[in-house]
Amino acid sequence: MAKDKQTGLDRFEEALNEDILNASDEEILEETRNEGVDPAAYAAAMRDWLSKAKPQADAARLQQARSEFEANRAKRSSGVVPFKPRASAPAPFQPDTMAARHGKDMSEKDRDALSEDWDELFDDDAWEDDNGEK
Amino acid sequence: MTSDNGKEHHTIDEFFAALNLDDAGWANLRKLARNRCGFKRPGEEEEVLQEAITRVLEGRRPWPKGENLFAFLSGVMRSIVSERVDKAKRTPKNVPFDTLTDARSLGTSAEGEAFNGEVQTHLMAVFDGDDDAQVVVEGLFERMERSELVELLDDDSTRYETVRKRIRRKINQHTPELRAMIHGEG
Repeated sequence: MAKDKQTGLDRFEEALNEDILNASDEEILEETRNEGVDPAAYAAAMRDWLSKAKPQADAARLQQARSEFEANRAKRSSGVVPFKPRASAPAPFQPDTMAARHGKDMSEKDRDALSEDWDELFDDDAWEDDNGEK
Repeated sequence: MTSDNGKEHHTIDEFFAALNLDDAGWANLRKLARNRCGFKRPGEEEEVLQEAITRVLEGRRPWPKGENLFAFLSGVMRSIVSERVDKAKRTPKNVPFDTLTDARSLGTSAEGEAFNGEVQTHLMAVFDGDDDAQVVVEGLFERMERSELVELLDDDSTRYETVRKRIRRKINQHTPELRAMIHGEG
C-alpha cells in the first residue's frame, strides 16, 4: 500500500505490526497468555490444521495446472488456420519486352520510340550540308 | 523458483518447511493476524491467517527470497483484509450493519475518515491519563515519522520505545473492549 494512501488507522496498524515483528518470543508468549490463550494449545491446533491444509493445497495446485494445460491445448488447436487456396489466382507477371513477346507485335512504347527515331532521321536541320553548315 | 519479473522465490516445500514453528512462532503469527484484522475485520483472525498460508501453499502468493516469513505473511494478511473490506463495500445489501462500519475503515472518503476518527477517539480514551501514549497515538494517526514522534518526547528514543511497547500491550489487553465500543459487540 502506498504510504500516501494510508489512512491514520492504517499508519497506526503498521506501527503495531512493526512492534510485533520486533518483539521477543518471551514478550509474545506472555501477551498471548495474558489474553487467556494457551500458546501451546494454539500452536498444536495450527499444526493440525496445516497437516490437513497441505495435501488440499497440493490437490488444488494440481487441478489448477490441469485446467491451465487444457485451456492452453484448446487455445493451440483453435489457433490453427487451415490452408485455403485462392478462388481466382492472379494472372502471372509478363514483362512487356520484344523477347517476352517472342518477336511478335509491337508495344505502344516501341512504336513511340520508332516514330521518334524516324523524326530525327528525316529532320533536315539536324544534319550538316556539304559546307559543314547546318 | 523464479517468477516472471525475475524475482527469486522460495519453493512451496521450503515455505512448508519454514512453517515448522515453535509455540512462540505460531503465537507471533496469531498476533500479527489480530493486528491486521484489528478494527477492520474483528473475529476473522484465524480465518485470515489460514487463508494467507493457503494462498502460499497453492502457489498464488510466492514467498520472495530474503523476505522475513512473518513480515511476508503479515503483508499477505493485510491484502486479504483489504479485499474483504472492499468486497463488503461492493455488496452492502448482504452484510450486517457492523460489517458496513468495518468497510469504512480503509476508505479515504469522508465516511472513512469519520471511522478513523471514531477509532482514534476510543484509543485516546483507553490511554486516558497516559500523556506520552496519547501523544504517540495521535502522532501515528497524523502519519508522523519516528523522528518527529521522538522529538515530541524530548528526543528520548528509549522513552519512545517504552511508550510504543506500552501501547501494544494495552491495546492487547483492551482489544475486546475497543471492538465492543467501535462495533457494538457484546
